[in-house]
Amino acid sequence: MQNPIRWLSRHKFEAHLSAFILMTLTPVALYFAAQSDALGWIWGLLAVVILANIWVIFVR
Amino acid sequence: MTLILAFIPIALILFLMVGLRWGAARAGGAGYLSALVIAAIFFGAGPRLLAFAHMRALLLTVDVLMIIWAAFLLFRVADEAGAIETIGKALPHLTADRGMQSLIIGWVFASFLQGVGGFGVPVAVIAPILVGLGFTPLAAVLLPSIGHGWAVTFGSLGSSFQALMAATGLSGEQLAPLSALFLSISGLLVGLMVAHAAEGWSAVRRLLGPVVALGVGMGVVQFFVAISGLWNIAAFSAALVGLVIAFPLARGFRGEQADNGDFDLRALAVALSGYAILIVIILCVQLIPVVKNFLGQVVITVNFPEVGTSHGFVTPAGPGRTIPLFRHTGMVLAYSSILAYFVYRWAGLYESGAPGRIISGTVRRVISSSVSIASMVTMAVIMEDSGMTDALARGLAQGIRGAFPLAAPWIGALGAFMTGSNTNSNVVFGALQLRTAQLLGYSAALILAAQTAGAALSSVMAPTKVVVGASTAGMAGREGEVMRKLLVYTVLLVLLISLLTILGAWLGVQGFPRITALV
Repeated sequence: MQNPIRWLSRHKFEAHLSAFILMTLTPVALYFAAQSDALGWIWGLLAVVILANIWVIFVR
Repeated sequence: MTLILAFIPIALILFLMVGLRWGAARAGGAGYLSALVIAAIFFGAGPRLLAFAHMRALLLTVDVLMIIWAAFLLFRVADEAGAIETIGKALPHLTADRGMQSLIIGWVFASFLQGVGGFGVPVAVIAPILVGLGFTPLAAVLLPSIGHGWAVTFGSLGSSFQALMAATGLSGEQLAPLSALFLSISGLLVGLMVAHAAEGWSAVRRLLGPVVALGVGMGVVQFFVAISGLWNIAAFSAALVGLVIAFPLARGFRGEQADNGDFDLRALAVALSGYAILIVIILCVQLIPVVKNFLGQVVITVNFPEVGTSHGFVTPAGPGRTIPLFRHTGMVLAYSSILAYFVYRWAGLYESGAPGRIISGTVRRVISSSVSIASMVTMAVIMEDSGMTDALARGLAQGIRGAFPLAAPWIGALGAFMTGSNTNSNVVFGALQLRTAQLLGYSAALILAAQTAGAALSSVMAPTKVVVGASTAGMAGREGEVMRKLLVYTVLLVLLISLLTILGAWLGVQGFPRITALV
């Protein structure tokens, strides 16, 4: 686990950029999924935002 | 129980940032996750509610980030051209008097840099200048740290104020007057504190005249510019007027050195031209109806249906944050940045490869804060839509009741200290303060002015800012010394805001006459 965290710390900018893109693009898809009551899509897309936030926590 | 659960995301951010010294991005991610889990499990927030909350949060995030990105772009355009360095070098030529230097550079110029840049720039730029002038490293960090706090809310071209509007849904017309009044009054005290931090009580007595002249001049300008709707240039305009006032004042305090040498007036004029362009463009967009209407044609708006939790908390249907794309302050800043770039290029101030350095410098600098704002805004909206903010507000209202005006600035201060920024504090606590004010029957404008003023004045001692300042003055590892000194000044300033808020509540202030009906 140590090495991936070190790798993330060395690539902080790229890690933050990718997380930011996921955090900002996914809500648009979430909005349309919610409008059509596609629960499966909503859970899947929420998982993407959750993962992006978990990803950020590991970037020291 | 619900009160404790609702407080967990905020407490977690506080613990992670202050206790474990995590950065805002990491803590924001953790806060978001905790809010999501608690909202879903304990507050009955279903997937549809959470999905719409994410989209609502995205609009607020874009609204705030457009300004932050473009403000820093303009700063980078000027900095890459050497404009900031030119302005910084010109100022010590005005006077050799140590006290006046501390006022002009540590207070007025720090406020100017906060007005146009922010993000820790005032301390990072000024501390090395002051060290070069012979100030101790501690004073070099302390002076600009104290000096720029009053300009934070309307600084960074209004990003913190924009965040307050976004988080509460209230307009600039409602929020600006009292916020500007509180900060302008505190600005005068800030000037006295800068003099005190530089040379003690003797400097306060000796420089009382210049402090009053500069403080009143800058405060009045910030107030009137903010209430006239130009809140995004309120701190910047105030500091610019402060610099103008400082010229004649410095003549009376030239110090022992009779001849302070010449400085290149043309270079100074060119350096300031980028910001002159900004003023002209903002005035054109705000005051010329044809331009205003033309740029306001494209509006991003998203309608949301009514959603509710399984516990019965309902968020009514309605549009989210509306963004007038080409008239947005962020776009106005972008136009100014492009024009300023061409002016500086025409003046031959750029070396080859400057555009690439400007863009990459901007993106690299803002991406971390963009992530933290995205996480924290989403956390705040989830808390709001799931009823967590309402539960917190009800608990707060029952717990402190009449003492709320006293506590409101300290809540803002706590938010700024823990998140490192006035903007984040407004995002995290804005809706909570608004809801509590409504429950207790206090003026929303008054309480939110206390929130943002408390946050602005205490943001200067956030660990993240202190670390940046200390490192640029060669004090890395001695941040504790800076924080101990800053603590006294900050507590006094937030106390002043508490007293003003209590006074406002006692007088029954609802806002200013022309906005009373809206509050």
